[in-house]
Amino acid sequence: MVVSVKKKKTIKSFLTYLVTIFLAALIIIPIAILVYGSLKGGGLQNYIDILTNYHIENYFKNSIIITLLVVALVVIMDILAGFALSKLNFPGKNFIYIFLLSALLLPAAAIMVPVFQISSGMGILNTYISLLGPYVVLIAPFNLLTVKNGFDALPNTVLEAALIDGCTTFKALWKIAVPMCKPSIVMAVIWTFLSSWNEYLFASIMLRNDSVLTITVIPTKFQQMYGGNTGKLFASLFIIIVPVMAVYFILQKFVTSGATDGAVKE
Amino acid sequence: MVNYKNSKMLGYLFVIPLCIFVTVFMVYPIIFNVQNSFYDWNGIAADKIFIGIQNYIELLKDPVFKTVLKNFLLFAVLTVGVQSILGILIANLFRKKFFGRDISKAVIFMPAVLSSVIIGQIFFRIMDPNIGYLNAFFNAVGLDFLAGSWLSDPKTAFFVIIIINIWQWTGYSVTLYYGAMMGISNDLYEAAKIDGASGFQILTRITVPLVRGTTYNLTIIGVIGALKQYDLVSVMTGGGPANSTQTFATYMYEAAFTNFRQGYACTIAVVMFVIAMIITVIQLRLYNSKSIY
Repeated sequence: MVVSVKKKKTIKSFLTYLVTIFLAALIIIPIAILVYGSLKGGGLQNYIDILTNYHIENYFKNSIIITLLVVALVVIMDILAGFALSKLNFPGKNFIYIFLLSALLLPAAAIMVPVFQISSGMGILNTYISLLGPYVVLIAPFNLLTVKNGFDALPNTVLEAALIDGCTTFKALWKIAVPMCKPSIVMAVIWTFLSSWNEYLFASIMLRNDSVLTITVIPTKFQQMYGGNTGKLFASLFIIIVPVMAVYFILQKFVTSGATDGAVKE
Repeated sequence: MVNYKNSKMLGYLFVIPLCIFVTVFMVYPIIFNVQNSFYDWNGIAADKIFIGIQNYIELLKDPVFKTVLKNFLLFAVLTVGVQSILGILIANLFRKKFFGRDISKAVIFMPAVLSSVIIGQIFFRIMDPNIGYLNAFFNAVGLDFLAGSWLSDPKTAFFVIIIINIWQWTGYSVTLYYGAMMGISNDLYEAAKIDGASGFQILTRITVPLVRGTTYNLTIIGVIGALKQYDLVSVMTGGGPANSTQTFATYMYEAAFTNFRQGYACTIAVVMFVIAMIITVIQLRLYNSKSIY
């Protein structure tokens, strides 16, 4: 009896390992093929070529500038709105909350023609600024949920105590509420960063000039340039995803709990 | 609620910036799309020709739009269904701690943070019928009948895109389900075990009902994702072969920026809004009926 239970347990944990290894392999193999393929033809020379000849750093720079601007805008506005919706009382609050959240269901493609026309009318096509508006509207609502959930979990008594001590609302927000809700704000920063970094549709509509292209749009260009040269194409793809993979594995705990936070509560 | 003296004024002040963005980049575009869906317009010329509901009539008759609708439903049903089932099963596997569990969880989630454009490019190359690794692999292990040009066959191309989407997003479902399962009290499982319930019974009678909130959220996210689908199709097939993989987004892009028929593109956008609104109404209904939470 005891032996059979033990045996059953061993088989079960063996199966668990088997399935887990299979799943992890399923994810890793395409990435491994990417690395293997990137060495085809010139070996490491492929990487050196891409890094030295094609000004790939410019595209990284463009992505970083746009992403930093978007993160700053989204997170500041989400903190302000999240705090107001969570801790302040004003007429029409619920309506405003639903109005802002309705943008969660906005399909990006559905606004591409009007947003293109707005940018074209303002003469800002081919600039970083043209991406800020659509990115904020597509990214802010999801992170507003995360930030507001963070403020909701903060007890009112903490803020009331500050109020009695003569603290202004602004001070209470920046000196008390924000530091105490750091985890949810960090999650909002990371998810805003990833969403902005990986965005493709608007980046390919608004930016046509080579000097402003983002790194996410580049593979399509390289595809045309190196159609026949898998080695160089794969090397460029790998260079592009390595930073994101590195950031992900360093901040992995925050990223996954951020995913859970935004989507589960609500 | 904290009662600040100037709570009213500050409340509005704090929500106004975001409200302005949403008004300019969501409300205005909705009005713009509805308005321009009644015009024949190339998007460049100043003059638009009013054509009434001609665009809508054309859309109803458009065979490619039928493919778009069919692909939307296929994508929504298959990705939501498969990702939920795999998500629950894999999260259930991870419920008990074992050596290497956390790193495996991290690896399985990873594709969700990578750009779909790059994932599409990698698979496009792997699946290349002549120089790709996939066919070489099938031939090497004697599964020659599986080797083929799946992406250039109108019957299979869209399924390839669905499978790659599942590859990318199953880890996301796993993580959400795992989070929900961690919230289930261990006592429930212990009690079920004492009553002699099998592992399968515990899964279907306890776990699945208790994580239904997550299932519901993933369904909404997945259906909207199907409506948005652009990146993978754009880099893998560009809507082809023979328009068989067109989605709302790719077909709209083509209408607006390849064929310069922006009035027609606006009409497609209006249909997208209507579908998004229907999803919202269903969501609010379910949310308010409290059958979920």
